[in-house]
Amino acid sequence: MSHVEHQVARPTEIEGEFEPKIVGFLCRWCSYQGADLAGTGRMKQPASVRIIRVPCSARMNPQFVVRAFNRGADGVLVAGCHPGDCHYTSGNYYTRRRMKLIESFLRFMGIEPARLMIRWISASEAQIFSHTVAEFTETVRAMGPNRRMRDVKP
Amino acid sequence: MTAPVQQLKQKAQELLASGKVRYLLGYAQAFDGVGVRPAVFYAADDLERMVLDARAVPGLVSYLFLEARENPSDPGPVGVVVKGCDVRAAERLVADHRVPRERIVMLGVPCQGVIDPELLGAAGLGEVAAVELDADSFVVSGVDGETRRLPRDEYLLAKCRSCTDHNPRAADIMLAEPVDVADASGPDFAEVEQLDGMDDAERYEFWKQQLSKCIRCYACRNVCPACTCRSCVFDQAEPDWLNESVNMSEQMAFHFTRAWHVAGRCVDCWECQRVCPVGIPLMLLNHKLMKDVGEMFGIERPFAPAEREPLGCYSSDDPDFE
Repeated sequence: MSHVEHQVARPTEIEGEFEPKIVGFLCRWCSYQGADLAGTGRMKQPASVRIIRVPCSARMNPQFVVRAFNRGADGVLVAGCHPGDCHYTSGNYYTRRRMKLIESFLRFMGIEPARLMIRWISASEAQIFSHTVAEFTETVRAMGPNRRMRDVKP
Repeated sequence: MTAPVQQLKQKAQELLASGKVRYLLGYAQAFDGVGVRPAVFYAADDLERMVLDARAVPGLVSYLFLEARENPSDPGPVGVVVKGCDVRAAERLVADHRVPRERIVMLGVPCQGVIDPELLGAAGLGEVAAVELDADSFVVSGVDGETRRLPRDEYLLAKCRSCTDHNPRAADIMLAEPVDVADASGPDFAEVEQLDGMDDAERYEFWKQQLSKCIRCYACRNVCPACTCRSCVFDQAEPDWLNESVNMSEQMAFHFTRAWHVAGRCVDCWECQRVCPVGIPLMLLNHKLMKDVGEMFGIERPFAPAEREPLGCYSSDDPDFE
């Protein structure tokens, strides 16, 4: 947790343009490798995502998402292997159930649904990772800083 | 319907006298003279004060969890008075391996609905001796000997309006013949849908207002038959998931987590909402998850304990992300 805090606790707005802070939880086997490949392939993408590597997308405790928003994230990206491709056979199937519920539940509590993105990105899909980050960053940028689920004045 | 209080007292006497149960969880007159309160009966000659009528709102099953936690060595079974909704709570404890089934003796009361204790109190009828449900009204017998009628539709407890278990099917001892009332197919999600229909900002304002009332007394967690982890995330100092600060991020995180931890496991007993001292509509959160679990994963009775928990399994046909 202190790791997350350290990365996202600073104020969201720097003078001038708003640069979204996004926490990206990437599965160690697929999406993180995909991000790595995007790096070695020198693909251009916004530097808005703070990547946290998780052993499997099923490691995602839903509290990670809530805590990220609590502590100042403007968006949360969760990415794992495509269903059927999990390194541990079925981890991402559990993730899928959980994250489907979480997505709907956060929306119910008043969080804009677009601030949470869940994607399946394989180790070879560097292009898709890069696009996803660019697209998500623009979406969040357009929405402005997240003030909900936090203790800040609107 | 007249509550089978004589049958209950007789059975209770048999069970206590024969030592088949160590004690019995039932109801007694509350200290305010209007409602009832949970009471423990240890002796066969202590049953005079036992009460059973349409005021039997507080769930008694959660005490079984405390009993099993205090006495892991199993000193003998405990009797408990249950309505249909309470049976689901007991099934929850058994399914979660918190209380072995053989440690519970359920005395089942068929139920056509109970009276809302808050409304009964607000009606200002003085001290109440008994409340029985007639065809379309609650018949309130006062201590003063007077009988008054309150319209059923107005005074019925909210959760009874969508009751799915009028008869406690799994009870060990049935105290009366089953009632012949059609069960609802599931909880009423109208309020959830209404809230879902608002825009995000309105919804957030709603929850902000509701949750800012929270004093973090944890009564909702303590009373919940599904919230029985031996080591609770809210009690741990390390890792620092949550602290006791009363601010929006902690309140949101607390209520998100509390509801999430019973997602797919809530038995729709409404106890959390009943015990909340500041009146937060906690069942809205539970119902939202219940509705989603039912609709997304095709679970017919998402409020009833099942072999596999909805979030403890998966299907390759589950709804997917784009």
